[in-house]
Amino acid sequence: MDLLLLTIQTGFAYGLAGLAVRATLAVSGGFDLFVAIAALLSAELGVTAANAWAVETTAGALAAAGAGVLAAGAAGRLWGQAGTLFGSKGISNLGIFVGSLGALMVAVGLTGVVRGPGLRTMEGIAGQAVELLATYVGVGVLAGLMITGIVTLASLIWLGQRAGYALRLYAMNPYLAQEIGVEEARLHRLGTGYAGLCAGAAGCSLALTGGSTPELGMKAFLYGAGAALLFESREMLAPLPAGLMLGAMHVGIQLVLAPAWAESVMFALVVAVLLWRGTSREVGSVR
Amino acid sequence: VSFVLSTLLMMMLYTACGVVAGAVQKGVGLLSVGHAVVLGCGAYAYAATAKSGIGPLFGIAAALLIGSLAGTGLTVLAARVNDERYALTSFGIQIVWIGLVTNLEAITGGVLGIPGIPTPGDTMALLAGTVPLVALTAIVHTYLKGTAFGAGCAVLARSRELAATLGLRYILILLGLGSIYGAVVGVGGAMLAAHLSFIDPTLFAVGVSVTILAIAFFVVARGVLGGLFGAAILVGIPQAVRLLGISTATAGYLQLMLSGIALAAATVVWFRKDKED
Repeated sequence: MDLLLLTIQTGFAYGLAGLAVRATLAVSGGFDLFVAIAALLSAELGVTAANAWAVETTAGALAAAGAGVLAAGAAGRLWGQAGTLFGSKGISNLGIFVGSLGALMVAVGLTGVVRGPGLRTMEGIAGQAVELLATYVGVGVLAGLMITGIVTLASLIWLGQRAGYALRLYAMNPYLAQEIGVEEARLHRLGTGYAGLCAGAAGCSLALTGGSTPELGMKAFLYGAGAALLFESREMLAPLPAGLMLGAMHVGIQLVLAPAWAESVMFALVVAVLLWRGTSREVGSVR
Repeated sequence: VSFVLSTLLMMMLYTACGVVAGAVQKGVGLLSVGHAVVLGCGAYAYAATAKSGIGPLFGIAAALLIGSLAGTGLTVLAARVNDERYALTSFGIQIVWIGLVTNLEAITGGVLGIPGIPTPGDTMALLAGTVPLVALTAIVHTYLKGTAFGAGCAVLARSRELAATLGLRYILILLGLGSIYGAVVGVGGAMLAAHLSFIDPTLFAVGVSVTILAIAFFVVARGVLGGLFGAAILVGIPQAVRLLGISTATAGYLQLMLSGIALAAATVVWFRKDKED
């Protein structure tokens, strides 16, 4: 049971990271590493809040994670605002990657300077388990599943609303979206805010089960990029099933090989997806 | 004196890596976030060879060869992916490589690394050895301007399709440039391993790639002198703050912050669409 929930939680986390990458790809056109910044911010704030509040229950862990996710969403909104202010639309896709990589390095460096290197966990919930359907489930796994589940559900509802439709349409065909009156600058702010929430949920979820390191954001971004590119689809929601697939593979590899190898194998898979997709195919499919 | 020599040596090594990375960046428009992979391949090749008792000089030759192979492998990926996809792919390779080096304990020593690496000379001798390395990278950087090879690179930087239409064998260009880049960075890795007499995966993390990438931007802007200036800021300052009692790990994060600021500034200067047009 614990393993099944962990698989679903990991899958949702990768799926949400994929949604975040997909949303930033849609609104900025390039791979924006803000996704990694949001995941790191959310994870660090979640862990700090949980330890400061001496959290020991699922509800407490959920509240701490929620604070981290909301902060990441707010950061996303600010990131979009800053993009509009500095004219990110005039910057090439490569520039978006390089500039956001610079910002990510500042964020990682600042995190390392402020709290030091290494792993930080939510100490109060370490080793804690709750009874669920006649079996015991780790508090971290349960809280992680709940936070990713809530954000996934909220995403599905929001993407079915007017603003969400605008983002989905813009992701599929930005020219048509503009023709029928979608305001680009507003959508940019909305898209980065949404990406911040999704990436934040993914980051917090990973921190709940494995703890947070200054490098967590980069890993969340790479999984997200893999999920966003796995299926050749213009549909905004395509990263969700792809993330679930990647999550199941991750847990499966952990069971077959040593857990330390799982990350390397998974990242190798993501690199293989990137090479398989190539650059030329991007033009005809994912924007 | 030892600290100053060590800092100078590190600056020169990063300059050599930054200049040759800048040459690739300027020459064929490839922006890699995997420089530390090539540096690390050179360092581990040197450590394994020199520790086997064959001698440090054979170790440097092994670093040159393995580094060249790694550099070529990283560069020819451009035949499949380019622009931000190439940068993202190299970033992924960097993360995979760190995982492999950490897990392949039998070969790399895992997280504990490889201690007691023999050195061909003291810090002064190694520092003297970096001068021809930087000079070689300066030659490569200069060679890309105004030569047929440089013109071929410029066409390739613009468009792969255009290069193919003009009958350029762009794979050969990538192979040639990649092997030179890899050889220089690989030897740089060997000298780093010889200087520290110890290596572990943390020495070749993403931050190192980003620092080399940031120095490469200084090279693109102001040539070899720009590279030296960039290395002085991004390597010299974090080293110098250690004199204030700041730990090596914190100095590393400070280096990361400075490199990040340099990259963000480079974005504003170089990546405006109107400028590219």
